[in-house]
Amino acid sequence: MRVRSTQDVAAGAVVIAFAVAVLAALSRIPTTKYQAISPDLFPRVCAFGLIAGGIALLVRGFARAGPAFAWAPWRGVVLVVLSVVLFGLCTPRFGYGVGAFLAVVVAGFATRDVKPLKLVVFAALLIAFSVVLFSVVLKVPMPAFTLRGFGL
Amino acid sequence: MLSDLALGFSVALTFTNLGLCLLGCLIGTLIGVLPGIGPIATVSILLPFTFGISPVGAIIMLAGIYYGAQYGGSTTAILVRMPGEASSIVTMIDGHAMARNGRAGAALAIAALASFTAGTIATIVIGAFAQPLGRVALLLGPEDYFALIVLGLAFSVVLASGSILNAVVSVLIGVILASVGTDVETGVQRLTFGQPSLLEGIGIAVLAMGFFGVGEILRNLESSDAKQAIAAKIGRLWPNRDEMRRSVGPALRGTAIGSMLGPLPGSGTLLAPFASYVVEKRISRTPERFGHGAPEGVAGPEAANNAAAQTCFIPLMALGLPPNAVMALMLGALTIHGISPGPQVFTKYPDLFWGMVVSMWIGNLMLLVINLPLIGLWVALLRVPYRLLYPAILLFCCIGLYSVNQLPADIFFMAAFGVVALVLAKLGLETTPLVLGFVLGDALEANFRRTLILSDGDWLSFVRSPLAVTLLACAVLLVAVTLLPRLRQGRTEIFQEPAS
Repeated sequence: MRVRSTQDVAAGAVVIAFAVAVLAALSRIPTTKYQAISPDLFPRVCAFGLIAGGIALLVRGFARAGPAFAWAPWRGVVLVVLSVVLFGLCTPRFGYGVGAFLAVVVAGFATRDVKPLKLVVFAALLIAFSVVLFSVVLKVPMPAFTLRGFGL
Repeated sequence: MLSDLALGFSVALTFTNLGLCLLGCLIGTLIGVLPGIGPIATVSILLPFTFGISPVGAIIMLAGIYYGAQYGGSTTAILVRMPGEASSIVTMIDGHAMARNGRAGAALAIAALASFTAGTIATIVIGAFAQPLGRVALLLGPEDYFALIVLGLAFSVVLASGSILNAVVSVLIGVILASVGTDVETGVQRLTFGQPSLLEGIGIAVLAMGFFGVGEILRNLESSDAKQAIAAKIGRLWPNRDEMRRSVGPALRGTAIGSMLGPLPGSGTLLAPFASYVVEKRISRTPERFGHGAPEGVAGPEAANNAAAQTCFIPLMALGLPPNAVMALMLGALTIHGISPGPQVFTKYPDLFWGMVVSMWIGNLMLLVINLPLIGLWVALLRVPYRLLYPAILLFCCIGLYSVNQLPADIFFMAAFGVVALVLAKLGLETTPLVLGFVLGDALEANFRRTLILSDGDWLSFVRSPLAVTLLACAVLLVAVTLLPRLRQGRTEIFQEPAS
């Protein structure tokens, strides 16, 4: 047996792992007697269907030639995810203006042709635009700049 | 129907609603022109900002974004060979060929006029068919609804461009994700892992922005060889007599194809232009002209995608079943305003339904005006490089989502779903069927359980109603037939032919 499509084999393995995790989580739901339909029945049926699909993907990965699995370039992924997480961490404490500025600057480094100074200026302009749009025009009840959690 | 239309005009022609319609069409054209941001992400970003306006106004604006994007997408497809939206890939083939032959203006005009024709006819189709369908829907039992949704998911699997097996797996993942949260009937927490933010389930806005906002950026960064747009000269804007004559038939046939495929769950707006292109090429006496600037290849697909973008509102309004992710967001918008779409919408909220229908026609008229004279402006927007565009998209996703609940957890989940979308793409699993499974998962499960509860746990009750049996048989047949070797080849051909 030789792997003929690493993409199919990887997909099959991931799908089966996901379905097994779902089944494990569902098994913690207490089942009551005298209840025609337990709340875990439907997702359980789907998870078994998913396992069948995962096995089929594995089989196909060994039986038929197909595309290979390729890794994503990590730089872009890490920086974009980091920028979104930073927004989530900073916004409740400092307001969305600060969170958004950090997010734009960090995300901007995800491409190779980044020009740091221009990026900072661009981020500042973008934040000014968002504050006018969201806080002034749309009057979204969300602080743009604040200090919370520092006893202030 | 005339009095209904009169009601619609009285609603749609108010100052606010006209303004919202124009705003929607402008935003739609903008994001249609810009590659890298589509209607799904835009509608989810703007969703929280529609809470403050009336439900009719909200739906009018959001609908404008959706069909406006179909117009905008074709502009860039024709001028710079860069489809702003996936649904305008087909227009690119002959549209850009026309542009290279110095007929760019004519191609743009044909695209706009064909879209307008399609939009007008589709508006009538919605007005005529949605209400009767709603009346039929009132007669359906839970097992019929269950079978109907299964058939819908089967369609989405067959219409997906990749392998059938992968699409089925995607749908199942989506259905499982839909079941996360507190169970409505028993109050039990399912798959929440003790996370308070998951108690109400995964929000469609979080999933949509993760997949189509963050996920799309992650995928685009991979292939971000700064494509510099070189626009063709637009030239004379009006098509000549011969081009007009050649476009009429395809535009009407495209409208018919689009109107039929639009209400089907899955990628109706994506498939309709492909189908129209293949049909036009088959019935043409001179198929060799296709690919070298045949106006038929612009008029047909453009009409088809615009018609489909409008008729997909039929199942949402009449049955309460959204056929795609954007319609699911519309469902969310309506639900927030306390309106649950379904058969009762026509009697309870006639102003909402007919106002929306009429606003679509008005919106199409506006788009004609926005697109043709202002074409230079939209093309200029293409000079915005992607390295500036994606941080801005990311920013608007973050602020838009955070303004809904002001919960950091929503933001983290969005980031997580972005990574999930990338992983799924690497594994060859499409996100479109997954999102559809997610969108229809709740209704699927509710009707599944209702059927079993009403029959006291009798599994045979799924096949007691003749209608349910017919629908389920259709679903099985549909998938089985697609697996037949001959048809499978045909299906691959449909998806690949225009591309080659």
